Amino acid sequence: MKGADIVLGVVIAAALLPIAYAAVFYGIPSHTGFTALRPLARTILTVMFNKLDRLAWTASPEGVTSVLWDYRGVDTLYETMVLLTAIMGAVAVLHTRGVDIVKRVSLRRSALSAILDRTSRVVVWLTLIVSAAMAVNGHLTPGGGFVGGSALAVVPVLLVAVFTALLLPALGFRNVRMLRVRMAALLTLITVVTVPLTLGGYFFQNQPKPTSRFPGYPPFFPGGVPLGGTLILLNIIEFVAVGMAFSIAFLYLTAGEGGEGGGE
Amino acid sequence: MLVEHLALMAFLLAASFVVVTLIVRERDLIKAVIYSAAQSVFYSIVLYILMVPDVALAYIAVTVGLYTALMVFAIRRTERFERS
Repeated sequence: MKGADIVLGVVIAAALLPIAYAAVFYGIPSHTGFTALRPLARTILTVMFNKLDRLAWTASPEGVTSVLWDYRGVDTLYETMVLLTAIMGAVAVLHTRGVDIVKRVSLRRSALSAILDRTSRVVVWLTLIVSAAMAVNGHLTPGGGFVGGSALAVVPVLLVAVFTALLLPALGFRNVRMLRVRMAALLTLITVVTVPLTLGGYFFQNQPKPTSRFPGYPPFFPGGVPLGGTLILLNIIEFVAVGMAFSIAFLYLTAGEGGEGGGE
Repeated sequence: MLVEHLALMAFLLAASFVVVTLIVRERDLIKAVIYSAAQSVFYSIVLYILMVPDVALAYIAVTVGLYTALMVFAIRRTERFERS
């Protein structure tokens, strides 16, 4: 049965390989080629980190973050609001008493095994560091707030899977508290993007603009490291908001899991 | 260089099809979820070759981490083995 499955898969894949090759080579939908640069991409790459023309730049050498949080910032703001609404709906529908239980739990006793206990501790710390690095360096390297936040949400998932669903509330990550942190992050976001408006600038303004009196957020850290103005702030805020959102949703979905044997 | 990238991409897409076949034929749902994580790894390498590292990073976090865990918890509330 097992061997037959693999043979079947390999045979179909062998038949599919030339089709896939033709698809990516000649382009069945619309293959654009890797070497050609589209006019829009050329414009953004020329303008986004051009120190000589600071009226059009974003002070960030990372194209994706420049577009997401500066040139098309309002789009991302609406996306954040969509996620907020989705989480609010999930909380309203899934709310049970199970998520409010706070009990003391023993890490060693609730782990599935000693090996899982030790390895998951290492993985949890690594994930925390990597996700934070992705968010904080989002204006310099690929990554950013949403990516870092979804990587951060892997940590509670792993903790619930290896230990018990009661561990997160015991560590202080209660759903109400996480919702408050998320709301605080979103209020900070609103503040960051409306401050220029009160100082004679535009809504969502990052760097100086021709007809705006707002001088723009600081583009560099003292010492010359690019800050991207609002980009680093917005990435960190989005990191916290998305991480908390996914954690809340997951905490609700697993409420009542592993209640037996986990408590002390 | 372009040809190698395209050939690697075609290989990865074909390999992911092998894994998809395994997912569909598998009776043990936990194993099927693990295969689906493997398929996501192939797809994320394809995304990396297509020069979208931002999407690839988010794709790995969501499909290998969150989606897999969510499916495992969902399977825990039902039966692990699919009846024929």
